[in-house]
Amino acid sequence: MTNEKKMELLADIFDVEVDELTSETELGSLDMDSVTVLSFIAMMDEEFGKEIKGSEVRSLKTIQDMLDIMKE
Amino acid sequence: MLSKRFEGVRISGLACAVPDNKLVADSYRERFGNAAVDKFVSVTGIKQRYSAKEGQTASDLCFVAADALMKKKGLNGDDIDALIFLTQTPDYCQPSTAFVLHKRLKIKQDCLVFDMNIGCSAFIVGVYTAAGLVESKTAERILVLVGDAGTLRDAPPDDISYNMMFGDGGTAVLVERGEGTIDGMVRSDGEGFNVLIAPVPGYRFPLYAANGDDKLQKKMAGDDVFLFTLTKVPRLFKEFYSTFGCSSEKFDYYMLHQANQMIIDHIARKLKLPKEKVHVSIDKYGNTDGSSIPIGIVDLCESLMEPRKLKLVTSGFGIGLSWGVMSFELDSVDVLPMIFTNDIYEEGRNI
Repeated sequence: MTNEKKMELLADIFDVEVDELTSETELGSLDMDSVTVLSFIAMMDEEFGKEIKGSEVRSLKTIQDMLDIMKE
Repeated sequence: MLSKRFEGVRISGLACAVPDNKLVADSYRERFGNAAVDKFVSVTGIKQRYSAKEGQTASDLCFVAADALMKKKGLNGDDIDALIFLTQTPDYCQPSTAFVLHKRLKIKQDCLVFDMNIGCSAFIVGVYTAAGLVESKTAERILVLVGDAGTLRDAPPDDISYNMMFGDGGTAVLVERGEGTIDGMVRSDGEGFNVLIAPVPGYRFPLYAANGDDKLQKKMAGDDVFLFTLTKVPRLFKEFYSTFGCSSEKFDYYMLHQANQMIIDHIARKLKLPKEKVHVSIDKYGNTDGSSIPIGIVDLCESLMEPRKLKLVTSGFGIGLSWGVMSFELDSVDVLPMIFTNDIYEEGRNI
């Protein structure tokens, strides 16, 4: 999956425009609530077939951290 | 692999009762704010549900459902060989609340009576157990009662999920010998016993609740439950199709545990189910734990233009952890319309 597509998925999860996100964006500056965590877990399962725990999602610091685990 | 085709067993009737006390999502706007309420409704799909009044318990709701069902089927207490009550909100620590229902429904002494402490998979586990007893000729006709109520008790005041998610409901299902087949598959994982947990039992006397002790509060690790659901449930459906030689096309409707809309949508997407086959009732009744599948069936039957036989596949998943898939045929004429009740068993408080 291209980085562009991954950023689109993340923008959808955070409910923001794609151009509002960069790889350096800190997750703390976004609305990272329980629904966001669940949406990320669901997306990882659906798009990459990976089981990610909520605690693991919450330990991520930046968009780049998310991009790094968005692999099949 | 724990799976079973029960031959010569059928569900011959089903009824549900909910408290006559509707709570709508809009009424929480002042408390939690518009943005939070809008987001909650959008993610969970829950616009309203029915909540027990002070003192009303799951056994009260199940009594009303069972009484109506027995009258509709022309049965009395002499016709019931076993009564199984599945709940996480019993009236007392001891004895099994099933005995309270045994008394109220005037069922004969020549009867097997017990509680099972099971949550969102209760309909599946209860019917699975009853079908086994019927098929083995241990009993001819069994009343499976599933209910939870008082779910707002101990809800942390600031927790929007606990306060707006759960509805109360009681179900009565008749499982008996007859022409029919029930296919079932159940799974359990005690490793997750503390993912969803309520340490304090007993619901007839709400006074004796957690009393502010943090250690005794209900806990729900939402992320872990979500991950469990979206991985285990679709996988079990695939095993179910393979074991019983069927596919999604075989069934008229899918009735999944109404946990929240996000989970229902995700499972449906993974299983590639047509939207019109996945019946949703969470918008009207909320997450009613073990009763959510039968309440969904009642809601489905009320929406049908005319009576018909339905090929249903159901799946319950949640606390335990416990999950299962079950399919059966059900004639919609055997399903009663939703019952709304204010019944409270006062004798149960005067002990």
